[in-house]
Amino acid sequence: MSTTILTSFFNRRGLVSLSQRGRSGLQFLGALQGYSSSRIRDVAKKSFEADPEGKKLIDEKEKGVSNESWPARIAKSRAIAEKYPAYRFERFYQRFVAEEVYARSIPAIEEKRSEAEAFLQPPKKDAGGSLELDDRVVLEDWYDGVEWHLMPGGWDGYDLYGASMMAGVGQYVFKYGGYAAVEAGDDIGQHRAQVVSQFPKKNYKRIYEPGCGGIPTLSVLAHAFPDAELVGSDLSTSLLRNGHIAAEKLGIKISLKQRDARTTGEPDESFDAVIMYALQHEMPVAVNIDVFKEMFRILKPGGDIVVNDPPPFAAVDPFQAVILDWDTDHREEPYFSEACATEWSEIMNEIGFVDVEAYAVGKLGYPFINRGRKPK
Amino acid sequence: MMAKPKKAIRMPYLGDEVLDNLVHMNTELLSEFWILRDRVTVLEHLLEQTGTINREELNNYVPSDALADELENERNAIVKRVIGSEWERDWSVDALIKRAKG
Repeated sequence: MSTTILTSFFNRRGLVSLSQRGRSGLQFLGALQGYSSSRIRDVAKKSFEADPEGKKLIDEKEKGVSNESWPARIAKSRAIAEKYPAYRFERFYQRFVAEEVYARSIPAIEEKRSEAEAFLQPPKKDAGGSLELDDRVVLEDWYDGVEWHLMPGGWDGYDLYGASMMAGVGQYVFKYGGYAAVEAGDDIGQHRAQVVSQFPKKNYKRIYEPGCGGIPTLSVLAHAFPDAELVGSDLSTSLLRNGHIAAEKLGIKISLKQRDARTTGEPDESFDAVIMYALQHEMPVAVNIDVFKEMFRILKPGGDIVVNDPPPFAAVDPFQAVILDWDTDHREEPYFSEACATEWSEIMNEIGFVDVEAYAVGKLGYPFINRGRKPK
Repeated sequence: MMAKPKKAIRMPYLGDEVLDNLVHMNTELLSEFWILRDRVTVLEHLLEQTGTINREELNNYVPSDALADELENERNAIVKRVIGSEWERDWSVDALIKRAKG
């Protein structure tokens, strides 16, 4: 079940139909982003590739002869990209859509507040899942106050973010891709299904997902592994609340817990599989290392881990590296660049995972998988 | 304890802030245009469903003399307002009163 199906499900069940202005204004953003990140970005990329300095950087990258740091190499590439109007316009539109998604979706869902609130009530007949909120969880400075993706107030800054995502932003804007590492035309719902299919075994008894948000990945896991017991955790109260209601309405039994992914409180060797989906770039590398260690601890010997995050700079061409790096400063993704400068496979090997593989399953390097196994 | 990360920046993407603002306005106008066009299409659909209009008839409609005159006047006015915005700057009271009368 993809995000798209999740969204369709809620719409069929009468979540909220946005007003004509709300709907069409968001749909415009989807169309603008789709065009800009395909046609205009393609012109920008070709200009970069035809530039003598650009050619030199591409050549150096292919031969692996540069000893410069990633920030230095990307600064050089960005200077070349910025020489051309197509790149500048494409980035302008990228920023326009990133801001307007919230500037439009909040008023659009606010117009329908009573309907959204009514729908977000727990169902009468539930699926047997649970929600554990824990006010002892500390939001550290690296997380607290960050307005991820330019979202006003961050994940917990507006109570109807979940409803606005399900009723509009997901299906009218994000569905068409063309932002961050997601290629134009790619459906992130289908990405999730692709990533889940990277698990090497057909069955798992217990699966854990740190940073599970509003269950978009857990709902896909439930479809792929219907007999598995699913446990998810996150720092965000509102994401977990929305995720719990979504799971119960979908009839999927999931245990959701408010936890710091470095200290899950789960027993040693208690899970058969772990998935991390688009989580690494939302945390500093030092935090990531502790999360990987924690996942190693809670996995049973022989348990599998599948990780999807934007590709490392090393796996993409210099122009795409500029595109990825841009999110750090311009879409409030403070850890995007340091995540892309890191090879998670090396860290996984250092921690003790075996059979570690790193590979792209998408054309432009996304989804990018790191997977491995805890030794028996 | 790790430090707070820096906030996102908003730079002039197109060279300077004035140009960014102009393109921003232009993009908002395109968006408003789409929202209106979407509404007209929905309106046509609803009116057709209730049997009030026939969209084929609407497409093939030839305005009568009076309506043709009305449309011509509106068309000329909009061209003058938009394309002529630089050349129609007359802030005298007489000119502004005349503008109100069309």
